[in-house]
Amino acid sequence: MQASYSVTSISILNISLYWISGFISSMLFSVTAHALDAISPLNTPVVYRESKPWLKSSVQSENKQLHELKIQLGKQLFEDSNLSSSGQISCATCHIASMGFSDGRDFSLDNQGNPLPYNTPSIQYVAYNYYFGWTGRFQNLQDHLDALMLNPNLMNRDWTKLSQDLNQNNEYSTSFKDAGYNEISRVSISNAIIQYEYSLARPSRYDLYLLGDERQLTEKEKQGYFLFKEYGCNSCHQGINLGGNLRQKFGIMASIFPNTDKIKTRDYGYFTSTQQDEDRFYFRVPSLRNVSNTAPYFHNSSAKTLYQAIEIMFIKQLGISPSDEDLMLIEVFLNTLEPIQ
Amino acid sequence: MISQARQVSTLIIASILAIPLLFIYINAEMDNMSVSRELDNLLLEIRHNNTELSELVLRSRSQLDQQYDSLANSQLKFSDTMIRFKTSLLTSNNEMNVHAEVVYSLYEVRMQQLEQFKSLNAQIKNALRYLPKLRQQLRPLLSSNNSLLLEAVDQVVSGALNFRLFNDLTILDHSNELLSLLENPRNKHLLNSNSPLGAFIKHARNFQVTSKIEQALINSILSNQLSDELLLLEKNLANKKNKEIEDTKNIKKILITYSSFLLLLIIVFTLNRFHLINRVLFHKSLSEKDQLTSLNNRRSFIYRLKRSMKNVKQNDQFGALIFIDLDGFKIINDNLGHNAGDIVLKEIAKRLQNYADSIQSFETPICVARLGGDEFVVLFEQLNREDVSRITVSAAENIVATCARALPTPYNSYPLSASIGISLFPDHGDDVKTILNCADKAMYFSKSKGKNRFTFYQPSMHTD
Repeated sequence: MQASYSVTSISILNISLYWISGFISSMLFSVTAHALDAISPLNTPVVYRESKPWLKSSVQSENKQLHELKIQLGKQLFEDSNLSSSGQISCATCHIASMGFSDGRDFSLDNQGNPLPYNTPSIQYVAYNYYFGWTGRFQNLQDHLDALMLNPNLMNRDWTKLSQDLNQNNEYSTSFKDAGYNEISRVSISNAIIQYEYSLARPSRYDLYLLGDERQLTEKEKQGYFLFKEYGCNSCHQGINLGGNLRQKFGIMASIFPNTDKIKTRDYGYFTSTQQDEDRFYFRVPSLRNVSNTAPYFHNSSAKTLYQAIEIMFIKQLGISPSDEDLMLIEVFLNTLEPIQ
Repeated sequence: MISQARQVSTLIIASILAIPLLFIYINAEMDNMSVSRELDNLLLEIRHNNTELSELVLRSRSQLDQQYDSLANSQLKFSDTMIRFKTSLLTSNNEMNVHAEVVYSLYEVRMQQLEQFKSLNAQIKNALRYLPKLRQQLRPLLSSNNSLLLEAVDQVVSGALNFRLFNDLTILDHSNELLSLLENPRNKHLLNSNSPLGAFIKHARNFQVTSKIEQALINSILSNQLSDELLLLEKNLANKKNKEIEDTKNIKKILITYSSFLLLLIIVFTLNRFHLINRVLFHKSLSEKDQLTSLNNRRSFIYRLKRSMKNVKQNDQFGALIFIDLDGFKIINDNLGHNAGDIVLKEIAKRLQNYADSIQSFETPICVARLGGDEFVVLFEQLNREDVSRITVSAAENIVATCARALPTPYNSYPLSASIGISLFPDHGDDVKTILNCADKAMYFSKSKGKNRFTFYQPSMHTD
């Protein structure tokens, strides 16, 4: 009797472990086996503290295989320089996967070789943003994609012409069909690219820490996290993406542009889109995810290192003169926001 | 039969004509319904979203929600729905355009307010977190030499927290006085921009400004003009929809009244037509039939004779006129009275008609008529040349036999017979008068020969 009881309880435990691990692995879809071991529920009784699932479900009522094919197609399109009229640049020219889907330059170059007005932001966690672009003038990725494609200095490509060209390419026409698109058009091309962009998000050590694995952060990193909250960085850099869901004035406590002669159009922020005075110097609060990989910082690339950027934030946004140690600890914490490779 | 078929076909045509009308009517109603349903759903969604936004703002304001994710998400949904709403309203009805513009501009204002709220709220949260921290730093600096200043700092900090709780502007005024006290030139040694006290004053002032703006902002967000406007729009749409429904109902009423009126007209018309046809037939029979015997009268006989003569000439055929005069009728009339005479005439007419009916089916059109008095005629309208003599002879024989048969009981004691004269046309003449005359001559010949017989007209008779 006793034996049979223990046998059933073990099998129940096994099944529940199987389900829990399946659930977690589906949430953190491509976490490596190592990371999975680390957050195995045997080590951490609390599976996750936040009630919301970590991943926004971009997959709705669609089978997983088809979705994978869409992502693959999106990747192919993302890296195809034939999408631009010059055949020289692709999306991946400025959003390089190895550099946090940014390009490490102060300003990326357009198809004439001239620098663009804004620094290229990372797009790895674009799935959790509510606005796009430095000023947040795009409400959705489709608008953003449209603007880039039609910009004569960037892709400079008409959607209908692009659709026709891709239609003539046998490889593309089959892979579009395989991915479940009936036709090659603005909608299907954008959808594939956007699905790919959504699929880039990866959990970081910080997320695993929040999910309940205390060992993911070192003592210093935890101290940095404490300071991050203590000094009020997380007043703006909050939410699932640590930013990306509000606009804030750049230079609340002290003007970021003391010398008015040197102010360029881009520095007026959202004002350039709305022409309304209350939007002057307002920028979208960028996500801090993957921040350590995406130097230089700010819309005008004025901070070359993360340390500098944090310092500027402290002085101009918080109105606090930080100690070197505080800056160092916060930088250490921000490094934990890198995606797990 | 023919007239009935015609009436039925009129009805069918009328209903076929009505079908497209009905189709248009039903279709229009359905169209209206689907458009208004879509609009209603969108309005419902917008109103729900709008209240949700207010709720989320209050949540953020009261620190129940530390993040702006749900607010931003709701904003995103809101703008999505709004754009769909605008296009749907613009495409569907023009008179709501003004409302749509107002709603859209209010929506834009609201979105702007929400953006402003988020950034102000972030700044305020920051200040609330940082002011106590600064107080901690100030405590050792001030406690040694100026406890009054420390008291003021404490009050400013607790004033800030109180203001968050009670939203009472007098608290801010009080804090403001305290801050002016702290800025007193006597404290100059403590007040450079990098000193903790300087930072404290700066942050506190910033807090006051942003708090005031935030409070006004929250008031205007919660007063929610958009909601009022949406309500008005919904009312207008509902009114419009009701009016449309009323209109369609009215049209329905008119259509039904009209079609029932039409149906009534058709029925009345049909009945009237039926009645008229009956009347005409009745009058026709009156004018064509002999009143006593119901045989054809002289007039219709003449008409048919004329027609027959014409046809016969055209088709190279023959016609035969059998002229019958009753023998012994005058005696019955004189002895038994006119009534008895009438009955006898009727009897003879019946016999003649029966005979005509018996051969009519397989021979030629036959007309039996009473010309007046005791004179009857039987007209064979069309006969082929080879049949003429055979048929006329057999007919004449039969008629003679028929008339010679004994009369019914009260009159059977009176002998009655028929003298018959036969003329053929076109052989014996080509006009009515001549033919009748010839037949008459032949009949008299039969009478003179001893009655109860028949005679064909011979041209020799004419010479007498």
